[in-house]
Amino acid sequence: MKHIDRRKFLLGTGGSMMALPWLEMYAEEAATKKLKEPSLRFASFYSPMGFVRDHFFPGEGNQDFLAMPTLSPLKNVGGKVTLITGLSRVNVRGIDVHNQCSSCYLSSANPHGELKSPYPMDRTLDHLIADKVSQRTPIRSLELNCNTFKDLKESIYLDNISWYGPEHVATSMKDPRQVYQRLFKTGKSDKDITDLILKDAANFEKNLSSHDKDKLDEYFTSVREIEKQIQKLSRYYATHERADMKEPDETPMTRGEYIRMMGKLLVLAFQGELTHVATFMLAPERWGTPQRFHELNFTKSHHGLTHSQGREDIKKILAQVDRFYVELFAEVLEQLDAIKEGEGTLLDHSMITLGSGLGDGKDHTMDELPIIVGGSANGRIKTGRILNCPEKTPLANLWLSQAQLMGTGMERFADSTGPLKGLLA
Amino acid sequence: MKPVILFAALACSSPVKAQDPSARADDFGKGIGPILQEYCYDCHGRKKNKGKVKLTDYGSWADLEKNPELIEKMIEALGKNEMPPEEEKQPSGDQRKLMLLELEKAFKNAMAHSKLVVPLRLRRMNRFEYGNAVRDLFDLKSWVYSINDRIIRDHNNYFRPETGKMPKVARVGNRIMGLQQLLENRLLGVMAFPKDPPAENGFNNRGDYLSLTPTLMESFLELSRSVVNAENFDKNCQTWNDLFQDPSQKPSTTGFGSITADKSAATRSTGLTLSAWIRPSKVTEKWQTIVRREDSWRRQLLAIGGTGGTWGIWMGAGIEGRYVEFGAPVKPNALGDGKWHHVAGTFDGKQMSLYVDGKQVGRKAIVGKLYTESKETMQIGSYQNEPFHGDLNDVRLFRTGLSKLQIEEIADGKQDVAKEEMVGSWKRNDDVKPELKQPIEIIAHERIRKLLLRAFRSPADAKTLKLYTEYFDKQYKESGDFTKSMKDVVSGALASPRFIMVHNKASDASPNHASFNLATRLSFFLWSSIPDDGLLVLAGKGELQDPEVLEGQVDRMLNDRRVKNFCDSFAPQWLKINNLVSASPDFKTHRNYYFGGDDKISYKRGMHMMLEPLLNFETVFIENRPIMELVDSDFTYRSHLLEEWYQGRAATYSINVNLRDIEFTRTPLKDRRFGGVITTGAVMVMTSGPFRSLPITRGSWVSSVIFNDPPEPPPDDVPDLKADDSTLQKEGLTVRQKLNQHSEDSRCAGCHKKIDPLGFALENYDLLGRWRDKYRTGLKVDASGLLFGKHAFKDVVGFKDAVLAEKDLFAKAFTKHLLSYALGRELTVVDRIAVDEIAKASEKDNYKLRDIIKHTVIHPIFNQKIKR
Repeated sequence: MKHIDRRKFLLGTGGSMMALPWLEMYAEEAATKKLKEPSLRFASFYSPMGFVRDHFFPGEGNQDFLAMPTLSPLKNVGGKVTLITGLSRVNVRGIDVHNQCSSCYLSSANPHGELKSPYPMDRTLDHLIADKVSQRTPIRSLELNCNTFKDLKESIYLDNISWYGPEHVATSMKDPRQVYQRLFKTGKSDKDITDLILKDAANFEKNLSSHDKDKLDEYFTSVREIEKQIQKLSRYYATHERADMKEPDETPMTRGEYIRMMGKLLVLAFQGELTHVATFMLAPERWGTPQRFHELNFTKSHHGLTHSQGREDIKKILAQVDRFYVELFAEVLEQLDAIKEGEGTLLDHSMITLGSGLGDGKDHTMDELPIIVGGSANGRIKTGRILNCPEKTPLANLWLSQAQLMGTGMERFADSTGPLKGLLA
Repeated sequence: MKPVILFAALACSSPVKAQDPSARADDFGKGIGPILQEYCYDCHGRKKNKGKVKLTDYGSWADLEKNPELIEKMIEALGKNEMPPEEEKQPSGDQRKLMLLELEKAFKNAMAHSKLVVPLRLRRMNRFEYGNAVRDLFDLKSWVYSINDRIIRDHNNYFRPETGKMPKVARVGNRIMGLQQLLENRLLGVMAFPKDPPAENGFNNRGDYLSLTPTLMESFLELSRSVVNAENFDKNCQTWNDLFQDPSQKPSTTGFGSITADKSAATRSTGLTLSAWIRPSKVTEKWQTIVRREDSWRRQLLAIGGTGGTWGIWMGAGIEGRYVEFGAPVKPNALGDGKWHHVAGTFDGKQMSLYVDGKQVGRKAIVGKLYTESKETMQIGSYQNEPFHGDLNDVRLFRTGLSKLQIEEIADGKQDVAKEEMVGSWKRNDDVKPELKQPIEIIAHERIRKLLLRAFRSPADAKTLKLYTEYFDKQYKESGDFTKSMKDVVSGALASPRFIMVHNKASDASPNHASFNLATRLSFFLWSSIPDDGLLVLAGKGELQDPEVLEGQVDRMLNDRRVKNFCDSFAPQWLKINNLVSASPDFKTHRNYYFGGDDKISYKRGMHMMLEPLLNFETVFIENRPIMELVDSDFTYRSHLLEEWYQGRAATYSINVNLRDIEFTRTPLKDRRFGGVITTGAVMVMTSGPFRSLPITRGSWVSSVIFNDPPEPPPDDVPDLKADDSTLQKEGLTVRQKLNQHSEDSRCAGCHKKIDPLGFALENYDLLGRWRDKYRTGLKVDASGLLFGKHAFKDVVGFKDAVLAEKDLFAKAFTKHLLSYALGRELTVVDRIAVDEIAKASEKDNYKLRDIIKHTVIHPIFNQKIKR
């Protein structure tokens, strides 16, 4: 297997960022900020196993996507979203399709290249963006995940869309209390202990294999990153008010209440500019386990439903699940749109994508992926319309465009053939 | 997912012992070549290369030996009669045997060129191991945190490997599905990090899956502090005096004693008096135990704390068959002023009275006979989460209720009050400061050296040791608090990569490093934890690799209670038993699977079912039985509720059914349809859907678990089977007939031929694990089939016979699971020979479980030293 350099997993390929003290960067940024437009927020929402197609995509020639049953919850922010059709990922044959869907969704690693892991994985879009923009905020990025299954029977690939690199998952947060703590508590820094363990680690055995070196570097980087975050957060809270939100407790929540709570935390994080980058899994990919949808009044396996959507009665139920997730997504967009920021709203200064790694949960194809982008990225994306791309346009083209809009200066993204044509206003 | 290991990458310059390749080329052409040509080339040749196998590329043994993966594949396919497919021309039995023999030879030759040991990789501990390691490091009386990774909660101490026998009755709870089974003695305020997911068809101790991220590291850092600072850590830490206790001070806050009452208390009691001197260091709303005998309603106690808005002193006792408790209000400040106070509680058969400093503060009329026959000891200052904070002294226990006057005398300091009625007492040692023979720093440094040896699993080098001792000196100089400074050092050690990461040292940095590596690997395999002193001493002397010593240690470890960790971790993962948590038979049609009135209730019969195969596994382990008994045994462990379930006379239970402390009884079996693990309700239910059994899921389970041969993922566009109840009823087909239609699709046939018979063999068990002869449609169940194309069977008993006839194959499959778990990595083609050798060595004693474990450990692969 090819050796992968994961040592810079938090730094990206640049590597120099951490050396530059954040405060200087921050000061510099603050001085010039008035002249610049508001900072862009990037979030990527993932819904597993695709959507029922004919409830999601309006037929050819029909522009009224907000009339579609699954998308109608978006009508309050309809003028600020874009439905994109025709995007595809290449399904690498011979390896499990669902595992690819989620773990490769945000990387779209070159499907024809040598596999560095069981699936064609790579550093994901959110981290490539965070590499560039995280110096502006106290928290590098948020990885939120609304998987509440107790059985934990499925693989790590199905449960994560955010990866530092092949086989190196960016641990996601599923507990709203943990997210709350991350956002609103500064954390305790114990400089003495941190110094001690970093010295100890530096003294670790010298002639390690490259794999072991990577593992040890995960340790170093993690410890440093925590320290940095604590410093940044305490600086931040020296000048900022904490958001007015009660700390979540252990009161049981319905499926909807829980996801809404996680969404609320994301909105607060964006509003307070605690971070500019986030991923949000509405539910894990595949997972055969039945899920209780309190609001819909049934307990069903989402994955099971997608397989039987050939039957009208099942399809009806599945469409309810689809709509349920879109409603929750729409609520986040509405909240962002209700927050005034500068000349516009927070939603105007965002780029919030909802999508899935499967085009069709029954046929398991990765063509015609359902993708909705909320927000105009400071007016640069032309919204309130359908953008019809030619068949089999790489999803990576959209990711490349988003990476560019976020200021990464990237020119290629995985198997992209160029920025997505027609996206920009 | 198997990574493809390129042979070229493994090749190294080890001496080639293979036969002269040119001589063997003829051999190839004469022997196996023509057979391949006749039976294989049509599909795997120049015209077609099905499964991307092109055998025509290999014209000599030398060619073929460059591709050991292919040889392994060929051996598998030929051995299990998967190839050639049954509708094709078949080689004779002798030809098949010859091919297998030759291919095995070729495989060994191929391996002679390869690097023989796959290096072990640095990995972090998973959360199960971390909890065990911390518990063992401080010899805690409690758990570090309560996690549902450990499914069985042991309520009657049934797991005693040293006896070699499982008791007839195991009283157990189910942590993941039961009620309140996670509420147990554990460190307060210590949060575990999230559960580590298992590898696909593997275990959750795999190095490639266990990464570190800032979010996780945050948990590790938090743990390193919250463990030692938990409010009940000190009391639960049994290494306290050798590590945290300030050597210049007498131990005071720990080690309150206990009182065993005089026998006369049982026969001659007319009442009860509990008297004590207390000096609380803090007053809390939570109760603080002064003295307590815990024995259900028969308990007796004296405590301070708040209940229902009243803060004060409390007395409790078992009177007339029930537990009676009475409290009198006291101002918290009156007791928490840092001075000594006398407190007492009396009961004389008519009333309970409470006293502080000789003055009665409350009384309550209670008439009745005191329960006096409890044999439990009276604990001073400790009870679960209600320890006493501060000092206690001169605790006295009387068999009568003393008078007001007598209590006043005791409070005045009189020693011999009612001496003839006293049935027990406890006094703390006098406050004399111990004399230090060495400077306190030297003592601290020595303790740190010992700590690091255990925490880091090998002696710390001078540089590392200095780092930690200097750290202590700095903290101690600043605070003057020995205990706190030592806790700081421990926090550092717990957050160090040397503790968190399991590392196989490669260099000769320390003497006997290989021995320490072995000790660590051994303890993580069998105890999921760090090595104990016994292993470390042997490692330090470099004696652990000695085969005799090693064998002795394995025996010792397998008899140690810590080996429960192996059973708790390996067995559920091997059986994929967690799938049962989420199995949900349709609530409306299968009402009696659930306890309680609606489907919001998450308690179900699966909670009992899950424990059966796990207890059977533990029995095979403890009693060192052949692993074939995991397939077919003449015993099983069942609760009453399970027993009646299998007999088909199950009542519907309400939520009041016992969900906590369940009696499982060893049940002898004559009926071979039951027994072992495969046909247990647990496995049958978790391989079923809400409405029907899922034979393919079952087949895939048997294939992965029993034969360690997980099927390839299905193609992406599997057509819908349309096998729901109503369709089947309409069409008048069984699932099997329906599936046969599906399997005619040529892309599906290959795999289904392999897994379907394994699943259909179990069709006589319905989706709830109960026996059926017919489907609900009235159609007869057909459970017949053919295993590996050679063993025909009519029903599940015949299927078990067929599996037993292939016991060598089962043993190898099991060994493969075990070795992958033992090494914490995925096995590769290189490991095949080791697996065969371990299985072979265990064969003569009929594959007993402990023997297989032992042969795994003493095999050179476990010691990372293979020479051929």
